[in-house]
Amino acid sequence: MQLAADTNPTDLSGPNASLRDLLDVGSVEDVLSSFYALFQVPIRLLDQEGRALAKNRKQPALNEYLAELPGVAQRLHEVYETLRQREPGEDGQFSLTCFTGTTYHVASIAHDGRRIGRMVLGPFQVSASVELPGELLACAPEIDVERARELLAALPRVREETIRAIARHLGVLLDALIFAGHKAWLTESMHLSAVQESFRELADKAELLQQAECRISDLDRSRSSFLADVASELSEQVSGLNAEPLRELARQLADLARLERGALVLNKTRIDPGKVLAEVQAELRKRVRDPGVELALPAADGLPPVWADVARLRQALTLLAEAAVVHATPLLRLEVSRREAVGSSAQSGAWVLFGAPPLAVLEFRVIHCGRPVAELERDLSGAAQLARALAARLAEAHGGALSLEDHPPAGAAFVLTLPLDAGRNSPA
Amino acid sequence: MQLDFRTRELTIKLVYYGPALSGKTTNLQALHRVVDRDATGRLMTLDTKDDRTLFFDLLPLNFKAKSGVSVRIKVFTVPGQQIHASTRRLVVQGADGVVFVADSQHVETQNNATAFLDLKSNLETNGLSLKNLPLVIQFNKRDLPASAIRTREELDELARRGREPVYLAVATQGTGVVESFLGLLQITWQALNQQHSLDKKFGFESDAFVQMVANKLGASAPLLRLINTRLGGAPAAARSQGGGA
Repeated sequence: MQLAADTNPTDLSGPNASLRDLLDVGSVEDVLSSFYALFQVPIRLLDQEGRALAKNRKQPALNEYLAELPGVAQRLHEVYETLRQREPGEDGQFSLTCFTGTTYHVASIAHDGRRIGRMVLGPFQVSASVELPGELLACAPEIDVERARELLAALPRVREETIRAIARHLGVLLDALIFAGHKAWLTESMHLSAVQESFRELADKAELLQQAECRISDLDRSRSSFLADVASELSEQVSGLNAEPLRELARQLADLARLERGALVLNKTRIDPGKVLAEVQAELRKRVRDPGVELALPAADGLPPVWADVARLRQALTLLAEAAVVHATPLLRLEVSRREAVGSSAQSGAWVLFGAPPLAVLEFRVIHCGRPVAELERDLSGAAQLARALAARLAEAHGGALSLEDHPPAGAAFVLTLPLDAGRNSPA
Repeated sequence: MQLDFRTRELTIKLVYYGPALSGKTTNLQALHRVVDRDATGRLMTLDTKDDRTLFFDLLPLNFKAKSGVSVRIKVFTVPGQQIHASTRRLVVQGADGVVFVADSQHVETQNNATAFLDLKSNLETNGLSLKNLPLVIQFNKRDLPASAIRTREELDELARRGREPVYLAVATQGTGVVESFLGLLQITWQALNQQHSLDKKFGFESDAFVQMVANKLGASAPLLRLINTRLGGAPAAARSQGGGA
């Protein structure tokens, strides 16, 4: 039994198992020898291409003797070739009368609706006559007639219906053996494929683990840098004795700490996203006194409500906007829009039946016009970094995410994404 | 699908997917019980000694269309247990259509969802997507006490919001099994036909072929009546025009 190392046996594009794959030749030869002992009819199994696969161990002496005669050997070879090559018709079998006076019966071996080999039964004699045919005598003038007649007489006499019954019986037995062999072949192939698949999966996970390890190292470095920034910020505020920013910084640090240990309770309700942005804009107008900074808020009507803690969402968006204002972004745009989640454009009812993952998301964009991502990243102060970290944690606490993306033609945008859950967010 | 022009043979792969113990193997056993002996071989189960599917079950079905083309349908199940994730990924490879066998019990809702996400993920790993793959959903075990299972009304309401046909079944009794199978075969055949023009190339008559399969499965009712036992499901024409909704 041979297994292909990279074959998934359930894959239709893979090779079909051959008779050789499915049968244990030694065991089959035992079966054929047992049949021979019972019926005295020699049996050979061929694969679908006519290659010999198995035979009973004892072969008739008549053919061995005839094969030694120069004029007969070639004719015998032609008979064997016919038996090997000729495909049985619709009924799956045929009989061939040989010039030696003997008969062969050939029957297809089918499995899973497909012919995968043939069994050749014979030679045997249909009649009781032991006279040598004239055709044989003509091609072998040197033949020892007495010996040949003796060997011919030793062959079994089998009627047509009997040989068909033997073939049918052997077919049933082979079918059972092939089924068991197929099962074993599939099991072994599948086992091999499953191990390979598991190995591939492990390799993928090992790579992810390595990437995670690298990220942890990066985060450790960022944490150190972040602490240094916060310390510096605190130091500046303390030296300037500016109490309100100091209190704000302390609040943000406390919120971040609560979020980190999962202790921040969110009071979620269905809220209007456009209204939240308008509130953020109004709040910013109070705080930003620089007349050079323009706050733009395009209309955002018709958006679905989102399930969120309104105070915390407002806090996150304000933090992101303020981070920009502090860094003198001349035009700050606040936008919100609905976006289809990847792969959800054709909503499957199955999602509804089995509990839907987010089908769409709401994107709040705090756009810093004229400030590329690299520049914004570079210029963010310690306080702005803290605000960004806090906004990111608040987004995550809502099941969303925060990213900083390019905003063409020459801007950067903090994108706070919140999932729109079909069940909870759809309008009543 | 595999097409052999030399032997005029078409092979289709259908997969029964779903959470552990939802009745995937029972579906195949029920199909095997009713199918005409000329059209099938033995049901092969690669299972453990406690009858849990280890790798898969395989039911081979063979039909000869009027055009002379042999159509072989290989029906597989996946092992539902969590530990066989890699096997499920292999079995679903190259699937032409999927029956998702869900358990109707309330307590199995989360397992249904997990298995469905697992199906989505495994399809994507194999370059397939739920959006394009012919899929029917079967809610099995409808014979359990009404208090333990999701109501027909609830499933009907949800099914009408989606595009996949939903069938109700009691696989242990064979109820709904043939209908689910034919429902999948019909939409799979439509999808393959649209993609490969099987009707034109091989002179198939699609509806006649699926009806013949129905007859071989012992169904005496007209095909349309069998398929229309479903809940929900968009009409075939709408489904094939871009998979919207």
